[in-house]
Amino acid sequence: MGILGKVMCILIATKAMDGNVIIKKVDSTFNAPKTKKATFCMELKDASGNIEKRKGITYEANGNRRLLKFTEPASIRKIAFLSLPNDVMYIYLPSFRKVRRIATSVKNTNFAGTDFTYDELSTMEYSKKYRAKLLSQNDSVWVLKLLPKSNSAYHHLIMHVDKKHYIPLKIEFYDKSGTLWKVLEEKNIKKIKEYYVPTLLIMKDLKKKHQTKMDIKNLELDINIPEKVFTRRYLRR
Amino acid sequence: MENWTEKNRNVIILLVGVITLIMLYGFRFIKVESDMTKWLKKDAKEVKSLNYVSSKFGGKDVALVGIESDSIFTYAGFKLLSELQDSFEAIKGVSSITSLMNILDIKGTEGSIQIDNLVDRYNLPKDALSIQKLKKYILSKDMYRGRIISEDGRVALFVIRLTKDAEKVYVGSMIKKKAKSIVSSSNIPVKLYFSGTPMVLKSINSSIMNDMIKLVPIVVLIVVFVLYAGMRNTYGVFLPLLVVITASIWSIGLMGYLHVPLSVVSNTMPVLLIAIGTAYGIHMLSTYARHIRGGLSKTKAIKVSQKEVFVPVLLAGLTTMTAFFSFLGSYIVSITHFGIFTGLGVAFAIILSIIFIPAMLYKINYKVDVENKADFRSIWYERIMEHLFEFIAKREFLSVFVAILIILLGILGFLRLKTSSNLMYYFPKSSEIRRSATFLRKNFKGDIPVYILIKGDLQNPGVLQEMIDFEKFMRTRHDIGFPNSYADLIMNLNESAFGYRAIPETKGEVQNLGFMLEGRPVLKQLVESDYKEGIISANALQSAYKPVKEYFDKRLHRSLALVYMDTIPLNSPLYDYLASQTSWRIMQDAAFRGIKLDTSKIKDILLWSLKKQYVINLKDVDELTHKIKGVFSSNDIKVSDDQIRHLLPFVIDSIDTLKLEAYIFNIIPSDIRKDDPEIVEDIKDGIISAKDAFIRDKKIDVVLHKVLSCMKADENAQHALLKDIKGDIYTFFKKNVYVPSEVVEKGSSLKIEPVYSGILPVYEELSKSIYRSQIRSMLIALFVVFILVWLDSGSIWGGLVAVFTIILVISINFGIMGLLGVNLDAGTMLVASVAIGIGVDYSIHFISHLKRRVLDGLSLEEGIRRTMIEKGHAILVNAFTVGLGFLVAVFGTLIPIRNFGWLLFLTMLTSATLSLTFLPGLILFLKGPFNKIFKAKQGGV
Repeated sequence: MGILGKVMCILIATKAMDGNVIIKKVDSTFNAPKTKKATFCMELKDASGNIEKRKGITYEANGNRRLLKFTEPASIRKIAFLSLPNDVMYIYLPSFRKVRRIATSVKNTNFAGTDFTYDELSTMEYSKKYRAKLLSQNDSVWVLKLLPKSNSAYHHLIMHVDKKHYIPLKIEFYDKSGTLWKVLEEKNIKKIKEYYVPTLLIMKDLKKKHQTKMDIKNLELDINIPEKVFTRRYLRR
Repeated sequence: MENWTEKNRNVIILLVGVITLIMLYGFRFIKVESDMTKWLKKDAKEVKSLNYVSSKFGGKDVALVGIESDSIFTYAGFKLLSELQDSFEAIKGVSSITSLMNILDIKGTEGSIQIDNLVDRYNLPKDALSIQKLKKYILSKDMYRGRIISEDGRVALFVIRLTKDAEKVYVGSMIKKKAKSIVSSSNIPVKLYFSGTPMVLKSINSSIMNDMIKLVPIVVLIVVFVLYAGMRNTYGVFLPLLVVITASIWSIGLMGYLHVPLSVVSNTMPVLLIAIGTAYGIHMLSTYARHIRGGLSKTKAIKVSQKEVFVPVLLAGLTTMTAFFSFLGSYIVSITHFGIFTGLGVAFAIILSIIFIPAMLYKINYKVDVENKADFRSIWYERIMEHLFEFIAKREFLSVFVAILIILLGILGFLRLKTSSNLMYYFPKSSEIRRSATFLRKNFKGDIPVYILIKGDLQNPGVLQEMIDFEKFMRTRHDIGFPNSYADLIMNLNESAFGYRAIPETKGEVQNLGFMLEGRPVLKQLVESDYKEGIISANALQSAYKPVKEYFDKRLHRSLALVYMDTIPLNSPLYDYLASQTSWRIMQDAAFRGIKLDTSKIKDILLWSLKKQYVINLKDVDELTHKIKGVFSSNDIKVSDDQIRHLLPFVIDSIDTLKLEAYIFNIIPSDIRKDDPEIVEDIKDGIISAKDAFIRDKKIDVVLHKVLSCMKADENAQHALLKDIKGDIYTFFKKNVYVPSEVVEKGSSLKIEPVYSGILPVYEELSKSIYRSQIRSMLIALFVVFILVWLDSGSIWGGLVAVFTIILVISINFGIMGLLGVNLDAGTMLVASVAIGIGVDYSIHFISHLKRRVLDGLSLEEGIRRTMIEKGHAILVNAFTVGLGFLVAVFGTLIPIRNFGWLLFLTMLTSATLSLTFLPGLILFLKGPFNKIFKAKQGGV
């Protein structure tokens, strides 16, 4: 933990908890590892109970570079996404053997049939986007209400934050009319190096009656990932 | 029966009272069913496929909401649309909405693919400049213009699909309520328009109930007036009325208990029963009055009347019941229901008239005037009848001549008949719902959902191309709006990613593009998640049914084969087929924009292009350099234009693989090569395919240029048309092509199972069913009536002339309908059968009276003369009063009911008139058989 983290801890411990401070800490905890590499297994379940499984691998660096490649099933094998700073995003279409840039406005739309938006899958920036208010707490959890600072698809969020590890165990997303729309649960918290990270994310879209389960495996943090990984050339590999 | 009635009179009255109360309770369970898709039997293939499609993709029912305003393209306008979108989405039973606020926009901008909502409703554009820019963009795209925004940009459309099990009427009224409330609080002037089944059903349901409430009192009033004029007695009015009202209550109550819903046709039930059923009561009471006047005691008069009336009332009732029961087993469920319960109502009215009225007569003090004031016949009436008889008797052939004329008129009318099952035409033109629908049709072409369900591999380019072709055809139609499919989305995405409005060549490419669309709500409306089924969805007018069916049957291919064009020699007839296909596509694209093209000319251009090789020239160098540079940069390798130019000699004429590889090796930094050993090979392959694509693009440009030269200058300037045609030419040059299996001898076969579905085929089937039901019930009614009259008159000739007379009545009915353009619909189809059942009674009366007179010793001629004078009056008065009862229906809200009312009134008058003119004429013309029969009877007596 860096000096800033320590200072933050002291602040949190001494001062009556402020919602905004908590989500800042949540963000910084999530973004703390410099690099991440993992394989994932996605399970998409639709309203009729049909399940579609996808597997892939991700690389992340500095919270602003990310490469995601699908390995299974065959119909999407080798399709890959590359996100770079300044909202630059590429997709590799293996059947065309071509890379195409994707416009930035997709950030708030769902990623490839999952219930996560592109944004929700990348870095965590709750403190940037929301003002938080502490609603209640018990021994282990803070319950926060997050109100968007600018235009958003959501009216507000209710976030349950684990006091011990600053991990949002559950986030409820409410639509503009105040109806519960999506629920994100973060489970299977594991300690990897000095970090505590959830390895099972379940996002439910109550309107679409659709659910995405993301099981993160072989997670490696703070490892050396060469810069070349985050190039268009590497997208094709 | 007479003694039994006397003995049990109290029980009878009590029982009728109790049954009536029980049946009244049954009203609680009455439901209204105006959904015409439920009129067909559940196992009808159109209904089954519609239910299947809607269970998979939603959208059996579609509500349309049009927002008209000069301020659509302002911040306030967008805000209003966004609020409407939010509130419609929140309505239970809404499956999906398509509008400006959520429609996908797929475009390629500055080298990147953009798949996004057309308007970001969470971040609406505020400044006028960007809104105007957006307006220009939206109105320039065929995908939106005329689909969800009118050509002039003043009307925005919400296409709201309902879930399969939605409470349609509830959803319809909620949509209306919410739209009105949001618009009223908006600060821009807006006009709202509603159309589509959920909105229509609400209006029809309220019309059904309102008509019942409105029409019954009017018909009761008329009956009271007529009865009083005839009977001059309060009980004389009360008893027949009580009988018909009780019979109606029993019928409707029974419908409630048996969960049979009221429909557009069954709301005429009480009106019909009241108008028809009083005759039985009147018959009973007038017979009773006659016997009282004849000096019989009350008990004796009741018993004698009951006995005397039984057979004639039963016979009249049976013919009437025949009319209604002839609808039994009709192809339309609600017509069958109507037939059963109105027939039962008639039966109840007969039973009550024969048993309940006598029972009541025992209990009440029914005063009978000694003089029969009602039974008067004026001298002038007798004179008219005398003259009429003279006229007929002298012109025996005239009746045959008139009959032929009338039958010809009938056939002509029947052939001109148009069937209508579109609910919208049930409303008068001036009604709000009809005006609203007309307005939306004018701006968006159609409002009846039509779906082409495609079962097959929806990721296969061949299947998608078939879908695109179908849509190309649909777009050319003035009566089909908004064709839309998964194939459309893939084509748009391909255009934004690779520049061509065409389906990609391979399944893998389709899968790649499709992956980018996954999770988009629109997909659920168009394609199954396993891509094994999908639909082409459109909104159409009824007139589109046949052309779509024709395309579906003749042009939509069921079996495709993959052909690798590189292996096909240039003299193969396959190229001729492909050129025809492509020129057809180009022609459709042009026709959609009102441009006519000479297909054979286009085909010649395409065939010519196959033989032409494109040679890269000096002018192309810069462009080709840029393309090849793109291959390097997409691998994050920087190279200069000069380095590329030095590479061109190994590429332009023919590919010198070795030299090219060596050159690439030299210009790629060693660290990259070390890091990525396959990079040289990759870049080389990239350059080769870039050159191939470059040549293909150039060839496409040449062909495009030639095709455009076939058009006028202002026509070929249309940007969207150019894109379409370019896409068609691109498809022509594809290397992997799917063609109908019958075109090639061998090749793997790809199956497509299409189903023509939606409300449009259901309406068409309904129309056909109305037609078939009409003929079927008419024939049944004619046959049964023929048998009944035969049995009653004791002669087959009696049956024949009665049936022939009634055939003329029906002919006049169809003649008038055909000539005046009155649609054959759920209401008017009832007229012919009801006319047979009721109208034949006048012929029966005439024949049986004639028989009596001849048996009394009169000659046939004299018998006819006497019958015309003695029975004519009663027949005319009865026909007029019953007809008047039917005429009440013209005050109904719905057009079929109005038409039903006046047509039936007319039919009553014509059947009475013909039984006093044509019928005697025909008997006089035939003479022989009747003389023989009646004389034989005389002898028998």
